Amino acid sequence: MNNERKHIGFIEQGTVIDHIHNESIFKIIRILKLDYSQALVFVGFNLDSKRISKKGLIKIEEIFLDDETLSKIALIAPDATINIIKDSKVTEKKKLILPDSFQGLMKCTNYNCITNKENVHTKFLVQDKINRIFQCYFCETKIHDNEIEIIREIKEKT
Amino acid sequence: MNFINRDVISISDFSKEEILFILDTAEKIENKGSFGLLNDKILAVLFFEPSTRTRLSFESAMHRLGGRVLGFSDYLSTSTKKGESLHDTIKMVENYADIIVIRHFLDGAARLAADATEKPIINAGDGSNQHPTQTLLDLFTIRKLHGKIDTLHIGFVGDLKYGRTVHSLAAALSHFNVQLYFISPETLKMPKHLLEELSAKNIQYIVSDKIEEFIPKLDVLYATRIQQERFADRNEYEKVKDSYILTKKMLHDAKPTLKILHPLPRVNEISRELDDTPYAAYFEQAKYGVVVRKAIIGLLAGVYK
Repeated sequence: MNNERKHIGFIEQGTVIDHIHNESIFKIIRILKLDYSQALVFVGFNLDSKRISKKGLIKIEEIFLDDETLSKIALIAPDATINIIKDSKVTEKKKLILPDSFQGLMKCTNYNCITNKENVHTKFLVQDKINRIFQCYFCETKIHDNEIEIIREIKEKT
Repeated sequence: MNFINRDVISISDFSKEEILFILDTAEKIENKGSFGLLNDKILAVLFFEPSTRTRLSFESAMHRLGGRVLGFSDYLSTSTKKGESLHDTIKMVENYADIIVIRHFLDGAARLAADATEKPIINAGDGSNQHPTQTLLDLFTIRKLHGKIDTLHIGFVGDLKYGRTVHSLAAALSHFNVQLYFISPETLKMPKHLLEELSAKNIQYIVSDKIEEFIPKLDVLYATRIQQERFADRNEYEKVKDSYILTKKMLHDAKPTLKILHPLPRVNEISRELDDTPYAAYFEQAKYGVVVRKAIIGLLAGVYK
């Protein structure tokens, strides 16, 4: 039995985000706001995987992700796979596809960009989906995959 | 080609055909009277950072078209200082003017302004990002002085790393069949991603830190200032600062038709002894700024077609 089956619980209805690199797990938790969610969530690090050496995994009961959310996951965890679970079975596998543009998800790396000085949503155009190069819509700075800095979208709970 | 109410934010928003159309319009109106053409129009000139030359050039263009100008050139006297957002400033100004020119110290400010209003926005420089009317007047000057852009050998010298005018002009020249030379100290080299974009468009270019050997090949030499504050090490600056100052002696083997351009203001990068030579084209270049800006304002207002 691999360590996933042994240690991670099962869900009946919901979503499994699989094959996440360890460093992307917390980013996904933040983007999906799972730390404030009432849903049943299982998170695993360093699980056995044939595809990537050690994988992370998130299982969320009763939550199905819309396309916009999936494109956000595509931004930070392009290798992840999405399984839709119904009646404890995988009923659908979804592919992650980068959108042509997206808003408000990551920071512009240019310190002098107006989005870092005024209260404005960032916006990026996806210039190269294969090499994952993004361009700030406002200041035209090019941002490479290894420079992505995710913005926490929701206001902290007080 | 329809330019009515269009924003002029980035040179990359314009196709080669559109760029040529703007240059052709400027050429067409250069010696024609235009007074009264825009006598019911107001141009707002919002300068959040000072730039006397650019501001006067836009104001002169609008006055020559018979229009009126309002605005500010002192950021400290505006409500921005009180914390007003750029979005709100633009929403206010759109009620007072037909076309808005903006100069701002932050990168991306012009695009933000354009999104805030239906009125056309002209970017007169946003931080270190874009200054498209400067690029258009540079292209106009090159074409005016040489009668063409294709097949020219065009050199850039000075600070090529941070030089906004250099980046935009090189990108615009990639629409044409040109040979480019990027001459700078090692620390101020043209950014790699911009060179890659030129390669992708099959533009031939040479990168070097030596200027003399390329002088005989050049039709145009675009000079920019090397600023001391760009160097972390003062010794490094002292070592290179004089090697890129253009002098008569340096141009000994230049083609007689070589033209030197400079976005101005110049400090000491072009020796004053060159001012009276046929090489000096930088003051002419500033003159063409007015006609190119007249063409752009007239196209956006729909009086030039």
